Amino acid sequence: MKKTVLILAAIATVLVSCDKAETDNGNQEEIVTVSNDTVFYSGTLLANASSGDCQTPDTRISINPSDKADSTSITIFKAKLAERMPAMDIIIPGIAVQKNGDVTVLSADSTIPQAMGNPFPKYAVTGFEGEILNDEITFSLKFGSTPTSFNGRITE
Amino acid sequence: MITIAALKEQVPLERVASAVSVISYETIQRNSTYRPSTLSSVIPSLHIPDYGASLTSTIYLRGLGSRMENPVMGLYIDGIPVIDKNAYDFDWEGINRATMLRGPQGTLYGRNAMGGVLSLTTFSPSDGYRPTLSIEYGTANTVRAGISFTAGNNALSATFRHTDGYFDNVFRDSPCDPYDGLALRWKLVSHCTERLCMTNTLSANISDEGGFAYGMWKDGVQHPVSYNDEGSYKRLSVIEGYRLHRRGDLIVTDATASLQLLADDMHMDQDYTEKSIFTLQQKQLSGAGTVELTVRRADEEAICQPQTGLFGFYRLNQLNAPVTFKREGIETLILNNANSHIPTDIGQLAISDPEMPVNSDFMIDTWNAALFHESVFDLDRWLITAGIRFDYEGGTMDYDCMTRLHYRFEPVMTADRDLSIPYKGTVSHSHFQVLPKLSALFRATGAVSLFYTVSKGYRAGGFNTQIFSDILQNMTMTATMNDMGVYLDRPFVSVNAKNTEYNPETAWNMELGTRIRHESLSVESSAYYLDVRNQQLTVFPPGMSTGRMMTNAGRSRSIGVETELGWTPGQFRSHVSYSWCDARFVSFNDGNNDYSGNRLPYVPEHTLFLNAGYSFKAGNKTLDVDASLRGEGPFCWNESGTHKWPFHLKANARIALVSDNWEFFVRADNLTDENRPSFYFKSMDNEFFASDKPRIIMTGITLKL
Repeated sequence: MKKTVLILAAIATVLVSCDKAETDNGNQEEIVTVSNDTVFYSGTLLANASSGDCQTPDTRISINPSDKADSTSITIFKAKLAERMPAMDIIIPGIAVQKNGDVTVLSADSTIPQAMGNPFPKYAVTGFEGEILNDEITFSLKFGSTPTSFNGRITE
Repeated sequence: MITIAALKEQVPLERVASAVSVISYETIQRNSTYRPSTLSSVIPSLHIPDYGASLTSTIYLRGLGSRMENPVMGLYIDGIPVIDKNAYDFDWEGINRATMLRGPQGTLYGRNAMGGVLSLTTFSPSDGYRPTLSIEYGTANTVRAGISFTAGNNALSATFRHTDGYFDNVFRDSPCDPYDGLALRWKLVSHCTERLCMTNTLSANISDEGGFAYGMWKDGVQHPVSYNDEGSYKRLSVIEGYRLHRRGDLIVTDATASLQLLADDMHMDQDYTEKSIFTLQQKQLSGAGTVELTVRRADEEAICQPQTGLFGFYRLNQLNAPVTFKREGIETLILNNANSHIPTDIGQLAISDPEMPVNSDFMIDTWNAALFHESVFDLDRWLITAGIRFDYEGGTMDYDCMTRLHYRFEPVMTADRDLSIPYKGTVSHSHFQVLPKLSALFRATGAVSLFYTVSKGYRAGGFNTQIFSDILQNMTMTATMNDMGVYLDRPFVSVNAKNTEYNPETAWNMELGTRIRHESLSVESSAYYLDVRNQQLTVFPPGMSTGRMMTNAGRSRSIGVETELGWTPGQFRSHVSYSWCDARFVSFNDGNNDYSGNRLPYVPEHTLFLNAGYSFKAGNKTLDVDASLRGEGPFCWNESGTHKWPFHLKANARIALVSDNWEFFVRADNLTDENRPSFYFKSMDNEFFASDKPRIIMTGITLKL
């Protein structure tokens, strides 16, 4: 079944509504429409830095609207990847989005994040894997050589 | 009989239940006291360190006082209160008498009269003084010329002073503290009717001076003044006062009103070093109006002498105080601070601007309304005084601050970003004070009296304008970081405009004294205990601010004794003023340390003035020889008491040949050329001292026309 995924904004299952529509050849097509709004989650960011683990509860992230139908970007607000590092806003672009039943799967092999309004290769992202199920999001990745994970729930 | 003009009425000294110093015209002339600051030590407990410029006339009295903001002493000229602290230190001419009431005088004088009131009385047309013309010249090409005369109902005086300055700025290769100033005074006294007298006084002072002769103290060595940016102060001060005095059958009415204008402009190298770090300009234009109405019983023989009054003033002050961070300041004060919190492997903040102005504009209005009453009960040998004042003061500050910079985060950013940080708003406050007074004077004999006084005074609250550059500096760093999406663990901004207000400081004074007047001998001694609450002290705000701000952080107490002795048998004259003051913090934590129990900084433990003179008669001429010693100290220069300076003396001398129509004199101040500090402070972890002026020798002539 051909799927048309219209990702107009962030991927958020609670905001996703699915309709069955007849195509010209009579097949049913699952149309996934998504809200234009940025969707916010709050949870714990855990970075396993070489200087030690850095766990930051109540970290906010957002899944942002994107022009591309099959990808999105995630902004981690005040991401703190090491104890002695100042927190900073990091945007991870180019995250592939795939719908698998009730689960929205997120993935990216490698991508250069943005910080301070510019590409930030020092924290090049590799091995991004995650999923959204109901109101919960989990993902893991490496910022440079720092394994990092996030687990959170949608916020109002 | 000596009368005191400082009590809103002419009162014989014998009826005053307070410690009083009266500096006569002759004493003013002989001791080169031509500014309020030159009365330091001549009046017991009064310490006005000679440093900086006319703006920085910090006044310490009985352990009260602080480096910033409102003074602890009320200043009156011919019954008109001087509202603006920036106008407190000025050259005078034509001053007939200076009277200092020591101790809180809040009941009659209200705001700021917490340590005392200095009242200057100028010549009146009816005083019968001959027209006087004087000129003197001396060290540092100093010229002082003055004229005073009467014409009909008018008394006029003018004085001009120039000096090249007593300290050199080594870096700028120029004098540091030149001064040019002109002071004019006009007094019109018109007896409209037998009962009604009108007095109009106009005084104007204009000056253009250098200043801030601060030399670095490093490795135990005092270095010469050496800084690169401008240090100057220009000021125009005009006070127009009007007084109506009406003596009726039942009551005597006094009504005074004044308009006061002050415009000044100060430039300061705020790091006082040869580096281009940061500068401060403080430009003020303020106008004030005062009114007072008092009524009292006309029958001076009555047992009860009540006096009731209303007072009010309004002041509007437009203040511009831009701080400019120069290139080295941007590097050292801003970037180093910010980048110290950013790991270098992430990047470093850079600001491309050659200078970064932090503009702070303020519009501050202050108003005050008071109702006061005082009754004096003359009960044979007892004189009981009871009074109370209800005093309301309010103020509003509009602040409009802005800074702008161009920054980039290297190597991530390849182009500068333009960032503006505005900061606007309004804060206001108001306070109500009740200021009671109770005193008893016992006339033991015709020559000896004892007095005991309990009184309360207050020093007005206000707003910390000087901390706004720190607020803006810190907001700039926060905004820059946030603009980049970078957040530090500790917020830069720990103080904002809402908590820059500070409250009035209050003091209760208990005082026991005695006064002896016997022929040529006069002695007055008093012992006091002062309890100071809500003490206005400078503290380090919490967080990363490098500045200091005034806040009501402490409580202190002062214990002291003061003695004045005058003995003038025949052609000999002598005067001794001495004070001992133990002023300590009862509680004070500046945000970094607890200083409870320590001595208050800048307050001399002892002040001493010794003067002796003799007039040798030879025909119709007189040779006046006078010598004096002024001593102050020991001082603690900081709250922790780690920096001290011992008691020190300064010798002065004067020889004058006097005839009926002229006087020729030679005067030496700091005869032994002692080099001693008058003021200490820290800036950017550097320590600085201002020194007392070196030996000054002046010679001059006074003509009585």
